[in-house]
Amino acid sequence: MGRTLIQALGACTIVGFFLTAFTPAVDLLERLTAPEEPAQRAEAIVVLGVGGVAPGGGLTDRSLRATLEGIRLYREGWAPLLVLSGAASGSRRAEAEVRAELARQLGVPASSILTLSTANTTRDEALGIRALLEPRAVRRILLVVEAPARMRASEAFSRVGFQVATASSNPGAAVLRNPEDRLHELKQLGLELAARAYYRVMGYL
Amino acid sequence: MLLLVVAGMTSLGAGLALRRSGVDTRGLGATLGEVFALAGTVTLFYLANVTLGLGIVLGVRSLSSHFISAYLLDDSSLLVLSLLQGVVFFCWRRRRSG
Repeated sequence: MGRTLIQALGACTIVGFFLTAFTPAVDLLERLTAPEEPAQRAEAIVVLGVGGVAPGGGLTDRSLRATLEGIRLYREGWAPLLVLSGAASGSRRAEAEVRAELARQLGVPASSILTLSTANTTRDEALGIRALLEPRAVRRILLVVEAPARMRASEAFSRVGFQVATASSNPGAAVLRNPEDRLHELKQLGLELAARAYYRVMGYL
Repeated sequence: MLLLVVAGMTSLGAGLALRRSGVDTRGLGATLGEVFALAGTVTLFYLANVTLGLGIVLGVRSLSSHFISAYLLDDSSLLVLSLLQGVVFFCWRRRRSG
């Protein structure tokens, strides 16, 4: 690659760094790629796996936030069923099981909780949750998912036959405050774009 | 904003100190060109590392029953590694051409 091209790439990187870290550009980009939508009543709330279980056996921050949001939506009556997803990693317990334990401790009846602890990807979660909910004739779901992954998850679940509404698993985090958060968000958006491209190629969307 | 002010002040201070010590401070444009080239080299390494990492993740997933999360690549260490690769490669190339 020529020196001028490398210099142009470097200039873009530096300008991009300043735009990302010190302006609200990434907030706008996130709003464009994953617009907020109001929660809608559904037949089941589905909390997708995210973050997993920490080495100490508790949920990671991201997983805990998503689980609590799902429990909050259930307790407010947005749906009568709470589906908790999340696979095991290494010797740790499955995220879905730890989440279900927390939900029961916070007052969600065991009969209202379903778990999926075998799916590692969003596509696998869509298929696994369809297998779980099909016998109950559940079609309308409220998907709890982190903002950058919202569109891909929503489309992946629609693709397997669900009517999907989404809720952010980290509400209130949409307004990012410091440069480090914004840079992290840009990285997440980049990974999400790559994941979307892969899902498109594979025909999952 | 505080971060920008702090970085701006230390840059200004360093520039003034250089000038006082009698070092020739002309050629800022050429220096910026070098900085862009270095940043470009680091970016190339980062993109190459992420692309190769994704390829390995997808390859392992499709060729075996083992699951590796693509989010393993969402780690600041990869950025630092790319920075080191870029700096070493850039300096090495300059030494060879200089």
